[in-house]
Amino acid sequence: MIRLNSVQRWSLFVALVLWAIFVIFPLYWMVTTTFKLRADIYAGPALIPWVDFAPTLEHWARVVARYQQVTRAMANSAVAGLASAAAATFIGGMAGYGLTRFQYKLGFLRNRDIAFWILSNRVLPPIVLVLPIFIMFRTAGLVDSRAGLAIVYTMFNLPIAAWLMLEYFKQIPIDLDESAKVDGASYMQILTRIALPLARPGIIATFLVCLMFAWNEFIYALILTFSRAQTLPLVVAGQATQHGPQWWDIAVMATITIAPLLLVTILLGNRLIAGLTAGWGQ
Amino acid sequence: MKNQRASRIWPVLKYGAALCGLIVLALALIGAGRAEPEPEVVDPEELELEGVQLRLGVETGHALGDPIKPYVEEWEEMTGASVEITEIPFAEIYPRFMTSFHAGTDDFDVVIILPTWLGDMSQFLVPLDDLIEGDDMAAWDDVLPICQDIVTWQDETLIMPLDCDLFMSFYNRTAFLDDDHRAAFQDIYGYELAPPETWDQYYDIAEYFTEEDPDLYGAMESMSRGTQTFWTGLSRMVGYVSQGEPGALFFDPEDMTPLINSPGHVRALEEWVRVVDVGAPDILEFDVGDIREQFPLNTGALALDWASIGFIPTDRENQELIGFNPIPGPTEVYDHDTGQWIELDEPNRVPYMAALGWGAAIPVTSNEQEAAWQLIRYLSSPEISLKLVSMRDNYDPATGYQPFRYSHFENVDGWVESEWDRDRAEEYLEATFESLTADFVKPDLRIPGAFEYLDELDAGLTAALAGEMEPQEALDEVAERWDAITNRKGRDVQLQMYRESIGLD
Amino acid sequence: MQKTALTRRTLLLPAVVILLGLSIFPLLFSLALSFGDWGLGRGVPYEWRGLSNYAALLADGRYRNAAFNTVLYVVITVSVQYILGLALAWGLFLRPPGGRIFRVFFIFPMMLAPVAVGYMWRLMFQSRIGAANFFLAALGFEPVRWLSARWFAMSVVMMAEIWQWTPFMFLFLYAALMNVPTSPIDAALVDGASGFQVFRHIVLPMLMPISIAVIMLRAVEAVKILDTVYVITHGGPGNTTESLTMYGYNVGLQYFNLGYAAAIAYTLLLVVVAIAVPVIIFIKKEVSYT
Repeated sequence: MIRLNSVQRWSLFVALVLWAIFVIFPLYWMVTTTFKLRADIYAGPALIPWVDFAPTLEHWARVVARYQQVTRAMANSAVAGLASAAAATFIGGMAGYGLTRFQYKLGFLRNRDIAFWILSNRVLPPIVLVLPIFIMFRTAGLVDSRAGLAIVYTMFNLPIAAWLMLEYFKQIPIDLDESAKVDGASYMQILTRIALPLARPGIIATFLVCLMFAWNEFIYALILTFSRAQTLPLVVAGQATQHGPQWWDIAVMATITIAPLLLVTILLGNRLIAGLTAGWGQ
Repeated sequence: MKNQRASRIWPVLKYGAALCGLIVLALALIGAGRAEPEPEVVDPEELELEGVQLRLGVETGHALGDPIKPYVEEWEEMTGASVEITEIPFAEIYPRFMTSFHAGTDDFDVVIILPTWLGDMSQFLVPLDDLIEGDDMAAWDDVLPICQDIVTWQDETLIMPLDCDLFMSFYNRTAFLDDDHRAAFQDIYGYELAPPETWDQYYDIAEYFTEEDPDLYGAMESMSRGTQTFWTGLSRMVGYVSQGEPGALFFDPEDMTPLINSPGHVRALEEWVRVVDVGAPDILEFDVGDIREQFPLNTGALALDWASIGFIPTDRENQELIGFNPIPGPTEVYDHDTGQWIELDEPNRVPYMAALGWGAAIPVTSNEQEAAWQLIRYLSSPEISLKLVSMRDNYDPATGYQPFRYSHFENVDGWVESEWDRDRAEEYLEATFESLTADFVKPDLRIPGAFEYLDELDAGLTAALAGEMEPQEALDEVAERWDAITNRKGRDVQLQMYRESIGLD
Repeated sequence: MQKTALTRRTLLLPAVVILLGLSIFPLLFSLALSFGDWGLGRGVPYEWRGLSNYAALLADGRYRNAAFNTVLYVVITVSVQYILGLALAWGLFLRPPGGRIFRVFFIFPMMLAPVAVGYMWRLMFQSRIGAANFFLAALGFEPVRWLSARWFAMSVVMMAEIWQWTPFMFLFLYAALMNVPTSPIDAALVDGASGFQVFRHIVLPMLMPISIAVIMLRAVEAVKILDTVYVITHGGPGNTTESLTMYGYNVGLQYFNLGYAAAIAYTLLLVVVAIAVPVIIFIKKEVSYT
């Protein structure tokens, strides 16, 4: 292990603190903006509450007053995000497990080609897909529904979920399966007793990554929803009206939009890192 | 042996599949279920609309969505119908409605739209003429003729107006009435400080305040991309190329040749670009929202904006700050036919109806057209629309509705009731009325593809304002792209539509 | 035997069905659109126009400009993200004080909605009311027209992208770094190698496959850059900062010129595939040699 002397240690520490400030400052700026009066926002930069400006709850009060829109959007984001992340992780996990444990042949495609094909779906730009999907959904009655969004998000998260889970299952030596077989374990037992418990950190990490992408998605939601299934990023964008960006409202809505994922990251961030660390060895 | 193992993995898969099925089912149920319960108010007198559900699409937020809500609720309680309001960000309204119309989906019963989109939307909207005819509540004769014209497309009335748009200029009365400023201005420029009548005066005044008053920015105008900069630009250009004759602003009405890069247009843009140096330091990032927030804080000397009284501050304070002034003009006008500049005795102040004015329309796909009509005639009625345009129940400084009925202009008491200072309301109404009834009023572009033409113009104007391109170069490129659009959509069709839209055929 | 085959298929089937169902039809549909014009259903029937949409692209200055911008966005943001991500991963690998807290902090930005991030950065870089010029002034610099001058506006977009996605690079590189076998490192240290030499000659080569994978993954995502441009500049001033997807979005979903939009999207797709395939083949080789 490389050992640093204390000068190196602390200069490294200072460098990391600088980066942390760079990471945090835009968030700080946005959150403090939610407490600034309009006049204060337009008066120019004000950094510290109570020193540079008198904080106000005016903008939050306005959002609370029309909380239905926010709670509905949050419920939509949550349902579409959680359901699609769960579905993508589950389906992607199945595919990943299959691709590491069996030999497939689809025409001329072998395992590696299939894995590549699955991942390559991630390449498709949403602007290519979204109008045809709109037309399909219209026929199926899925426009402006949470179910429709969840399906699309499952589709666009599936490549990355399958890929992450595939990498993860690769790390779990097949020897373990084999020796379990020798000991007389069934497939079911192998899966539930060996593969799944070992893959748990990977499942959590994959789930979080999918949730992140789905929660934050913009362009599909923009085209495929009207009002009932509107998600939080759309409400943020919606604060930029014909009469210009309403900075105070944008800041409040953006804060509301990012808060849940910030919280999740604080709570589960180390697990996410651990999951990816365990899955991303060789 | 293998069989046996396989049979044991099956249950896992079965449960998995069942779980998946359950997720999908749950989603479908959630998707199908409504997020909020419907209010049930019974009004014995108008039972026929009991239980009717309408879906109304409108721009999101303070300007258009919020102001109508109290009156929509009122109407819901009166009729027992319920209205679901879909709010859409400005940049997405046109695409959203067009997607829905083209796709033939029954998504909206009422849409609040701009007449500038009529060329593309007319075929999807229900003609309202028979409904309007003789309807007291709609009170059609009370609507100003120019505001009637803009909602009419190929002899059919397709939109019930809620608004009638016009670009105006605004000045800081406090600063203009200040004796020190008046004396200093007179000294430097040799004429009296007064609301500008020409663009030269506008520039002088902006320059004066930029240099002499550290607390005031010279001018505030929308100049950023993707907002409404093209409307500000057209409002400026119109006086340089038109004395009111049709077909001088956009295309040659003989063959659809773009006129946008004519010497008149180019000079208008060149003079506009100079304003950047005497405007707010961040004027290139402005859109009208910035003006409406900042001008009432006593930070600007001049501004260009719609005549929305939304311009006036939220709490009706500082009403004495804002002076209304019909838009300035140049003293020369370019004649396309002769290619000459014509000297004028009076500045050529041509009011421009940028965006034309929001109004409510009914898509043909609606299954509740009768109820939809009941709602929009109520909103547009003299009584309710006066409350809308005077912001009776709305204290947000961004209303998007401007007066469009004779009764709005005559009933100053109504404005006072909405807590306006009588003098201010009178000045505002007078300036607006004068512009709307002027001999030359220039309506906005309405042909199919208007949205695209105007977006290309927006790109050219913002590039020139930011100094990324020379005005001539920028407008040449706009003209080239306009030609491409015209060719793609069919020159003959476009020409015919254009001629009809400006009243030539 | 029968059931094994069934199991095998069942594992893969849902993924294949969903991806095929939701991508093959749209892809074919768009392909057909790109060779013609269509008005989304009503009124105008589909009209075959051969290669005219693609021919028009060649002559379209706005398209070329958007393509050029996209290349800049991708090359600059992805390489900076990689370098910073690698530096951060290496920094944390050296076990500084507070490492566990730092690493959670460092992944924040990637968890946030790009739309919200876009507004955050736009607000900070407003030339008069934003924080950026305030700090510049404090350091004695003139204020900069961040959002209304082409190269500054592009640099704001890039900074937002770098801020948001450096964590992605960091996360995967850090995860890989934690799995690097320690014995070669220790052996080199015993031989007197410096920390930098260890990094350069031992760790970096071992990180090569994962580096290529994350760079490719990010590049493929970055080519699709839309949300941040849409929010921060809307392509302006003029169309000078427009990306290809932004142009495609405007043409398809704002002007409803569907055929042309599909052609733009297809060229984009070809570019992405052209980037991705060689890299994938390269990775396959690398992997099979090691």
